[in-house]
Amino acid sequence: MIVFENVTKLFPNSARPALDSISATLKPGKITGLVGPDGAGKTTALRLIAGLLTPTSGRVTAFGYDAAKETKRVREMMGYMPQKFGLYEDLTVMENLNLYAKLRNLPRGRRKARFDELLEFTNLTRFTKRLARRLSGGMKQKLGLACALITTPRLLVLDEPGVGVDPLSRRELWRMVNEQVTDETVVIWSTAYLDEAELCDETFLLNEGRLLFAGAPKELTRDMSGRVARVLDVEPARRRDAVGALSRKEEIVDATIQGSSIRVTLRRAFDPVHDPQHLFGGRKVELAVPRFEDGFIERLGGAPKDVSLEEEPPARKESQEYVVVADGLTKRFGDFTAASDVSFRIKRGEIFGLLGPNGAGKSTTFKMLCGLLRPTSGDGYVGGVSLRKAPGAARSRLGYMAQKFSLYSDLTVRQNLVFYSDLYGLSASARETAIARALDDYGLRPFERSKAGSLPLGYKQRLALATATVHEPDALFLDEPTSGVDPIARREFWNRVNRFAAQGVAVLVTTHFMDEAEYCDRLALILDGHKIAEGTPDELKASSATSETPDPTLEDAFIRLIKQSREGAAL
Amino acid sequence: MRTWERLWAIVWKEWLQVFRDPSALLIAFVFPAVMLFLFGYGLSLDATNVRIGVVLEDDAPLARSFYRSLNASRYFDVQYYSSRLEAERALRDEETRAAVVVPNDFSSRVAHGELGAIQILADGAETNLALIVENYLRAAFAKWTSLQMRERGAAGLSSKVDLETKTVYNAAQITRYSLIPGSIAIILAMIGALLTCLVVAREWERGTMEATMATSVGKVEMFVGKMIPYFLLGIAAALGAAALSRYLFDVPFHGSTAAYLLTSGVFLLVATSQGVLISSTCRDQSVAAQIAVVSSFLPNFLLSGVIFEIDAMPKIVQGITYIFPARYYVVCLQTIFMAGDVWPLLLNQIGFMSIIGAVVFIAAVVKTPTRL
Repeated sequence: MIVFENVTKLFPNSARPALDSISATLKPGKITGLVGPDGAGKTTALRLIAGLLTPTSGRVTAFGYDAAKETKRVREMMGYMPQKFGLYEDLTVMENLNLYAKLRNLPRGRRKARFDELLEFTNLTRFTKRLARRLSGGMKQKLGLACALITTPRLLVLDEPGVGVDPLSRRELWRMVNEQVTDETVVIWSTAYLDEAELCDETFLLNEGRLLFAGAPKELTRDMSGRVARVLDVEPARRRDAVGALSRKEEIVDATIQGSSIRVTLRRAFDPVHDPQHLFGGRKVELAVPRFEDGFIERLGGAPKDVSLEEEPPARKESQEYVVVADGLTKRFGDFTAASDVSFRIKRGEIFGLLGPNGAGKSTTFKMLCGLLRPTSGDGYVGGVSLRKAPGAARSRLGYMAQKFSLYSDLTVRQNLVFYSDLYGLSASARETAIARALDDYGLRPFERSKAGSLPLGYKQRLALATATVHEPDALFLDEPTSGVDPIARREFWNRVNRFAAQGVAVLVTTHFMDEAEYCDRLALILDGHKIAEGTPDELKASSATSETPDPTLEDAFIRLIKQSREGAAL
Repeated sequence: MRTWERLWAIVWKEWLQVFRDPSALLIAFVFPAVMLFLFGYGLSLDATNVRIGVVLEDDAPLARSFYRSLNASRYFDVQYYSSRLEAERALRDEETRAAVVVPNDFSSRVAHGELGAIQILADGAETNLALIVENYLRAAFAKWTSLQMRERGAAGLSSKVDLETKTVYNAAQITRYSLIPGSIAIILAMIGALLTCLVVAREWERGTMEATMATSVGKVEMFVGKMIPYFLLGIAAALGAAALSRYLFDVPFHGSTAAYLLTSGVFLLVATSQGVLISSTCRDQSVAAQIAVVSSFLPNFLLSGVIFEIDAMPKIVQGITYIFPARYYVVCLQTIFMAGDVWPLLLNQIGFMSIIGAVVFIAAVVKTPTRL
């Protein structure tokens, strides 16, 4: 049993506590999910349990031992897997196991049997001599888990074990951890994926250092049942306007695009008799199962109202032309092929998603299309300009928002905007207009003279999008734009992206969040450098529907496609 | 027992990593070789053809003969000035590096059996060069006076004597023979600190530090386990550097390998502890490397006595040199290479280094965190 007694952790030089008066009891015999966006305090909480940090006030105990004072005792019975798995990349699979066996005091006589067991369990038996560096993301994660499990711990602490790996590996990992749970063990699994939270027996939902909810995930969504509905068959061209219109209605808490339908959360119970006509303009509407995320948004006070679309959207550039074209893009690094013959086209006003686990080749493809990486073969075009022949000219037609915060932290919001305007070669008057518009549109006026580094995460993201679009590009490239931000900030971000699409901008997004992929018009699934499937979210889901799963999620579809592709490769 | 096993696990892991990741081997072996080449070939403190001004206020034969002897030296490019004022102006305008003035009463004083003093005017702004020129001039002067005595003792003998071979003062004090052994101190200090701080910072960056910290490993095990492999690597680098000095640069090696290893070992202990100390406070590889280079290279370059004479430093700076182990190690190196195993001297230096080493070691152990 792990007990947090009124625990507060305040780091020096930070205004807000990383954890604010948290009291919680984590019971054995189940998987406890520690859920929340980046900066919620998940890692801090785990480090307090492991005695890697000490609380500013309050107390954390593990099986009766004070984690801060009797750290050694706690560590003796704990298996701990940090983010990035804590593996030595220069060592082989076996050498990593051996090292952790010794560091965790597993008696020599028991090592062989335990290694065999764990290797079998994680399917790594064939790879014992392989360097950890050469393992795939999913295999690294399993090895990390094996190292944490080496002494059959009573307390298993996993810090975002599922992040960035393909959904199939994520499921396998979940199964493995599940098998380790006995009546005695406490398993803590932290995650930023809200769909993962639904699998846990018990969840603690953290946001900005505060505990929003504790209990079984079903309890969080229980209040929501009967309030979530799906508006079906919205024509693609109207979808974005419809979401905007719906989310502005008083009765509606949240509205998001899900393939060809729109998912809606109501403030009250859905009325199947009157609502379709009155609220949804006579469209076909059906009741849907509430999700963890719905509960989260409810607790945060509802999704932001999409004000950006209220004003008259600028004239749409009517056209069927393809703004972004990837034509057989291939990139080899030595004997390693990071991307192999990747092709797709993005129309004006279309949002196109590149979906795949870390290391699949998303970023490589992305960088080639930005003109940052020269393709080994194939070519890319932005606005008809070849990236191979005129990368500079092609780049001036696109806006790029990098995965990590890539603005100058020491410059003010305004200075960053000025800098990027100058980089894109805006004239002085155009620059001032663009900056004024950006400051107003993104609600950055109050922060105009604040340093970019001091902004809250959500505002940093707004500024990043604002700088990427000061020059009104034809194409907008977003690399994992909302990984780790809370669902409110994510919705706000997507509202803005939708607005750009409505204005005729072609948008390319990479992501490994399945629910984010649902916002896209079309998707390409990337695995091991290859495009394994392309289509609208609905097409992809439909293609993998079976009699057992007639209504698969995008994740089910992806897992199925991965299996198919791997089987194909094995043949 | 468990402690030893965990310690051994860390040593073995580090050892494997050394051979898997070429950067450590590069730092340990290629870097010292490059540095030795730079010190051996690139950095020469020999001065030849230094322009000096000479003023002969005294026109007697004795003064003239001194003037001739300076003129004959290959170290000097002599410029004659008719007055002291002119010579001073030339010095100020950096036309010359030093000026020699033979006062008007010089020969008469010598003739009366009194002490005849020749003045040297040196450029105080360039203390190091002034020191070198002054030393050369003193050497030339000493040469000349001995020559005069012999001439007087045996009048009529030819005054043509080779200045070069009979130089009593060892101008080589500041050249390759002492520079190369001394540079070993700079090299070992840098690789010792750099190797350890880089590997610790790397663990912070890759998240493995967090993972190992959460096991049962204690901080002394972690600390000592990390030091041992890099200490051994440093010893190997020390042997390599000595071999290069001896066989490539032909620097004599009069002492024993045992004495060399012992003194180098003590010195490396300080350097590796320093590396761990740096990395315990900074967790970023590039920052750690910068701090390691600056904190090991600068004091060892400037304050060890390899390049700049400690005796010629201002008193307060001389005081500071005592807290850096390089000062003692340089004495050991120069003794072992040039003179041999002078144990009383070596043990004395080892004693001082050990005290500093113990302080740094304890500081590193105390500062090594057990929490994030």
